[in-house]
Amino acid sequence: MNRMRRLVANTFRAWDLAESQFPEHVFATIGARITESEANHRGDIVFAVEARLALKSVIKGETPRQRAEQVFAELEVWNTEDNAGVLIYVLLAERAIEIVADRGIARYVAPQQWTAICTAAAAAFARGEFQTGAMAAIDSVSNHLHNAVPARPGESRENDLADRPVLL
Amino acid sequence: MHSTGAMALIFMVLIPTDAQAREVLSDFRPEFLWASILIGSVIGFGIALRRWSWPARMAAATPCSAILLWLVGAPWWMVVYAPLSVFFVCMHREWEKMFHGGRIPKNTSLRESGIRPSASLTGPGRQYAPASTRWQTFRRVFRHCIVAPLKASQQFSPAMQAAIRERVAESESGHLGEIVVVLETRWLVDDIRGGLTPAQRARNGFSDLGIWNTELNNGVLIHVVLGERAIGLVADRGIAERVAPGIWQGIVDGLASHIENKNLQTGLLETIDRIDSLLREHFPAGNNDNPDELANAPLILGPR
Repeated sequence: MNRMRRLVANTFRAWDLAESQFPEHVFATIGARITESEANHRGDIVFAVEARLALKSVIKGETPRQRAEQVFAELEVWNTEDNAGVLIYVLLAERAIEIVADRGIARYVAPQQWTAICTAAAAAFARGEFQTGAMAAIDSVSNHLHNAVPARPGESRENDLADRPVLL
Repeated sequence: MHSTGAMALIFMVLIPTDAQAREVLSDFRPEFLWASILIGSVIGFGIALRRWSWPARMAAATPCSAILLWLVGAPWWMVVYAPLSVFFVCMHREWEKMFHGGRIPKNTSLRESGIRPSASLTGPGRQYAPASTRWQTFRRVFRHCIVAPLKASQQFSPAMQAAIRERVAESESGHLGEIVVVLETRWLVDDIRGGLTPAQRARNGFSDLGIWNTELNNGVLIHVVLGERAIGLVADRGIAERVAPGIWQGIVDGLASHIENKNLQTGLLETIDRIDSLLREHFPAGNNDNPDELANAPLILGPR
């Protein structure tokens, strides 16, 4: 997407999407799914939704990926015991999804696998199936986490990050 | 042309009938009338329809100001575009809310510290109460915006920056940790009025500058805020959990007393040495691979 189209998308394409696609009860469902998934592995999933980017930063040429990395820092997803935090960042205006994984998990999962999840979810978003796409992305991320850092039996783990999705 | 009662009345006012009236109206600028219609309708409807929601008030004010503009004979582009642009300017906040679905988005710039304090935070040496009165806020804004920029070039001299860079580089060759010095001149007025504290700011800096991004989680941030005359120290959990909190507090107090005595450079170099000895004790370099993960030169932050 070139800059002009991104500007138009960030101005007009997010009308009411946060409210219609991710209202409170959907956030609660996603939060429950994340809690359920975190019982099986030592990772931490954070799901962040942003309606659109600031037009100023689109003009400067900030990509969704850069924004996702910034959000990773701002939401302190790095602050987990095993360095196994994963941020799933959704930018509604551009129908974009980005996954940022901390080094504790990135060393087990190849970047292509994250890209595959993102592509599948972005395709679902383009069809307008936001909730299905998000849920599928969370499920595949937790599969990867389960394979890479499975829960150690008999070890009670404190939850480092809140499971509830974040609206930015 | 439809001539309603209201139109007739306004034409009677505007069209002068005798020479005296023509002279009075000769320096009449219609732009003033148009502007007062535009602003007056927003203010008038804003006050009169106080029980309505803001979008409803603006939705009522916009067509009314358009009709008034048309009646006083403004050009068509003024009638169409001026009320519309006033509408969009007045609706800016509502527009933002609409994008976020009416919910208040999370404010990430002024958040509290994390859910679990795995990175240890030691507050400023001198305690500043969060500004509560207007006078306190004014003093803080004055210090940040006037005093600090004037002092910055003297306090953060290139010689001091070079000395810090050398000392950090020398120190990091002896251990696996990372030391980062941040010298910040001032904050934005919005942040000061929002009640930002040096502790929060240092924590945000730790997050935003990526100091958490070290293999062994042993980055240490020394954050100096000139406008606040405060310091913050944040150590990542790898080193924080090996060192007693009292030791961190001692380091911060030492630096604070040096700043009191106007010896920033000596204080910073001494602080770097003390952190260096802690890191050498817990993360000795040995024969391990010792990459330089973060920049050694002090970072100068803050708007000019």
